[in-house]
Amino acid sequence: MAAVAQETRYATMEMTSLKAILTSGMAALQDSFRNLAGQIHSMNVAAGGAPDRADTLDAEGLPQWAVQDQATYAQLSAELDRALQAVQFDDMATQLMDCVIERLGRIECCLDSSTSPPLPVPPLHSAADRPRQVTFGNDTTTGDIELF
Amino acid sequence: MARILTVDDSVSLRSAVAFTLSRAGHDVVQAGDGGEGLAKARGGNFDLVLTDQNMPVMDGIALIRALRAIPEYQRVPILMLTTESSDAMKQQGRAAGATGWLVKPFDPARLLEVVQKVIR
Repeated sequence: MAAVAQETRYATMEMTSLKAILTSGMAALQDSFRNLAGQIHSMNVAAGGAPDRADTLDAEGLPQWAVQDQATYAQLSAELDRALQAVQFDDMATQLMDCVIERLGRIECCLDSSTSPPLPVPPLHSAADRPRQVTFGNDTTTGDIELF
Repeated sequence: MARILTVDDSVSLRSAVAFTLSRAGHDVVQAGDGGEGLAKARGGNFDLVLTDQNMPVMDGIALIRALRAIPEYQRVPILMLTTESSDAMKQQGRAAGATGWLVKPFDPARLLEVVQKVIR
């Protein structure tokens, strides 16, 4: 789940960058992104600071942190959907969008594929360390393609 | 330009696929599960169907089987785009009539390459 938290965090930063270069009507999204970033920060602190948290199960027997991750992913999905519907894309936004697409896929792989090995956790960076213009779109591994 | 149906229960991933394909000039229709996908496919005159596997109501392989039973979709390419990557699952997809299998996460450029290849 550390990989989920990290991918989610990166996706949020990418979408925050995306938001920053979008052209119109984004005040509401700005507040949403700020709230989301705070939520993810809290999630990361909780995951890193309380290793026994995985033993805390909810009514359905799921670890609480897993439920939090699912909720965060759903929130990310909703925010992205709003962004897609609200904006006009220029070249930079398109480049960022491609990165977000791949990032969301990696998050979904972590959440959706319980039998698959977890994705490798990328090196930790603070938000300030991450480039404002995303340049890591080619350093991630995408899935296999097979035509029958 | 092709008319493409993309089926996925993840709004973000579905939107991302639609964004990628629309940007390339394709006409994209979205559906949130296999049942909705099948309903939209009937009479939709699509040139390509792109579907996830794990979805509520009807999964991707069941959707492919249902589509292949419809005369106008017997020759239409159908691609799976899913987190599932086991050989056994791929064989099920192939037997059901899938044209190809793409494992998420996808690279937008590669997705477009594959789409261009199968809709020729």
